[in-house]
Amino acid sequence: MRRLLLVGALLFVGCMRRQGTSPAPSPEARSIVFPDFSSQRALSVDAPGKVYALDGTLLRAMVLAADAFLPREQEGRSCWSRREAWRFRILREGDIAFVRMDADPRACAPVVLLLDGGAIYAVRLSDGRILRRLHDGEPDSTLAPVGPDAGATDVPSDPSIPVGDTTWGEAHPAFPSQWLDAGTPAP
Amino acid sequence: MHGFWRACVGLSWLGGCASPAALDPDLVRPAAGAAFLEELPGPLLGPFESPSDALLAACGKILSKPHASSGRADHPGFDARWRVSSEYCAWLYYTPDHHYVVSRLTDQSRVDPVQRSKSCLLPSRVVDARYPPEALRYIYALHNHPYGSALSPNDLRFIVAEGRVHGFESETKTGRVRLSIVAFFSNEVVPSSCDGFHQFIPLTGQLLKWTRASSGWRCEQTGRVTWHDVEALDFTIEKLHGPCLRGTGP
Repeated sequence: MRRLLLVGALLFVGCMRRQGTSPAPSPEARSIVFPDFSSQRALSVDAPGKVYALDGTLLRAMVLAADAFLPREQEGRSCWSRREAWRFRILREGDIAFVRMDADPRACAPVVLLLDGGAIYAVRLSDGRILRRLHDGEPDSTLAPVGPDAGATDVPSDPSIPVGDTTWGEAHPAFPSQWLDAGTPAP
Repeated sequence: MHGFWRACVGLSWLGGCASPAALDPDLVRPAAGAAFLEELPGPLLGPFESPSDALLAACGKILSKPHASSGRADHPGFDARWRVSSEYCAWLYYTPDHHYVVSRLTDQSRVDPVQRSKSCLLPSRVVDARYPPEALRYIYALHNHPYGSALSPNDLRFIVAEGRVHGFESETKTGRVRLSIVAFFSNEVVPSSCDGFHQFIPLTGQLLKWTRASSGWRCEQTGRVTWHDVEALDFTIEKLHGPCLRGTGP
């Protein structure tokens, strides 16, 4: 019986260790509203021959977010654990830098790509403190009402469209024509 | 005695928290320490005569898996349910003998030290031993969102990358079907049910949200995605709020 209890205690400790490998983060400022990064185009800073300037506080914010989201000690786990496999976007609002991190689809080819797995961090510039983080899929508590049904329209849709059907929409006029050259022909 | 202690320590390190899903025959995973799976076996569900029947069967199957739904955020204990929640992913494909089939599922994901980040690494290829690999047509990339949130930037880039490999539309017996990605959700934790899904169709740029109501399924156009580079790195979303009607945009 004592051995069984001991095994049980070790299993419990094992679970606790696996679910709590990082120190507890500071309480998050849930009142912070994350900006919508998809509402505007990003300016890329990798144009050859151009000079870019970046404040040290912004650099610190990006490094803090990257260190927290992609810990150096886990870089060897997979291609997606390396920070060069990610793209970083930064948006400054007052004393806060919002850092969005998404997988770079070119980085780990032909390794499988990620569905979800990105995040936005809010970092205070003046003291370099992470105020809040929001991972893909998590509810943003600043948005109301909450829940998957939020915002559904009451206008009925066309009943002749089968569930999930993809044959009825018009092609996007700006769809890159180069993409149509890829893929396999219809059977 | 030494053997007993070694066994205890080993159990605490390895086996103590193994998910019961490890033995689920519907799932495939890489072996411990091995690289991510680069192909997914099929079939799991099917054959189906229509893509809708296949899609709804896949929705029910995926959401029935352990921790596939974390429920509503305003219900008690949400944070704990979110941390243990899982994403599952699969392909719905079209076969040379004109059937719709769902592959087996995987829940392989990037490890997050604090268990808040959820992801699913969906292999680009399906292997169905009944058909040559190049004869399969990829129709829907399937996964679940435990909370029911909208599709993520990684989801949008994923399906464009897959479209560039497999093609963005396929001729089928039900018409020219466009490649899309969907994220199923349930409004309840247990028992979970197929209450809706988000969908993105790259060729049309449509972002749709399908929800199941008492009167049947309802479709809403929630946005339109415009890409700004051929590498599919930069995009913007125009938010929309209207029903799905033939002949109306986006």
